[in-house]
Amino acid sequence: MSEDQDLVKAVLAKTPGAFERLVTRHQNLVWHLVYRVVQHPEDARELCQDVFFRVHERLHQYRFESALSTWIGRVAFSVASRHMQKKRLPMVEPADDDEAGSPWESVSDGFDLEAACADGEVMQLLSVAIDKLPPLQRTLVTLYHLEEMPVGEIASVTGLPEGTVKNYLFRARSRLRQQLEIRMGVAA
Amino acid sequence: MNNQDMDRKGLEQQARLQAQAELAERQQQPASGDPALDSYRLVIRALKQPPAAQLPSDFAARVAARVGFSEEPSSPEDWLMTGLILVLAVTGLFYIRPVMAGIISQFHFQLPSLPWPLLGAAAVSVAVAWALDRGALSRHHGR
Repeated sequence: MSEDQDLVKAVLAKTPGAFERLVTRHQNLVWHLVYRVVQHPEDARELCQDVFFRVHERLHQYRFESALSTWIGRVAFSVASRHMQKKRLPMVEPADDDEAGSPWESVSDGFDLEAACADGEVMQLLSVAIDKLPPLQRTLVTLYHLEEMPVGEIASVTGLPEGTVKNYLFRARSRLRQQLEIRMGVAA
Repeated sequence: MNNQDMDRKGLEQQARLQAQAELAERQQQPASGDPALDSYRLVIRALKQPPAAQLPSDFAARVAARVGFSEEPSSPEDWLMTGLILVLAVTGLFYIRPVMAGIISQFHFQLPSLPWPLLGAAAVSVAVAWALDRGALSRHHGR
């Protein structure tokens, strides 16, 4: 938190290079979050800029009540969700509420973790399956697994209750595993 | 055991497997040999991969430059330019006034008696202010 404070104070004092340091430190979080929501590289790049312009504009409102990354994440999520609203794209698909099939019924024997991981096709299949998750689930799994953000912070970034975040994470992983097993079942 | 109980048990079992897979990945344990657990571990590995598309490498510098541009105090050149525009506007108004007065006098009978020179000066001021504001805005956004 002290590092955050020093950096914020430096930016507010218009210290040369301070804002660039802030952007460098948080650009991956913002990019991963925004890109996972909108899934469109050009739009995501524009939105990332907007996020940091907004962060710069409103930094004086940051009260150090949460980590700076959480506060910036909240700005990024808000910018990305508003973009989706403008484009009339849903963050949560109706299918989210249905558990399509039972992912735990067809576990094939002889699954080799390391071989599957080294198999570019399998990883590509999972990557495509991640892209096909509903935007909100995509974002939550990215924040949790890639950014290693705790559930409490994710709840704070997205404004969702912690239980809902956990539920979406569970469903997303189940859905991905189901996709994997359809593929591995065929391969086996 | 009814269907609801079976579903609940299945969900609990999956939640347990997911938690175990997460822990095993964090501790970098070797493959367990349990296909159910290992397939979740593979899912978690895939989720840890960043998206292929990336931000340009100079993103931070560019954003900071654009923000910094709007923050810079006006340079002496900016002040000189603003002063020059104002002097030109006032001089232009001074020279154009007799010409305009002649033209306006021709329409004297058609036009209502309004303080035309004053209105002209106000219009020029608005135009100059607008031009200055446009300049400041375009500098602010760097576009």
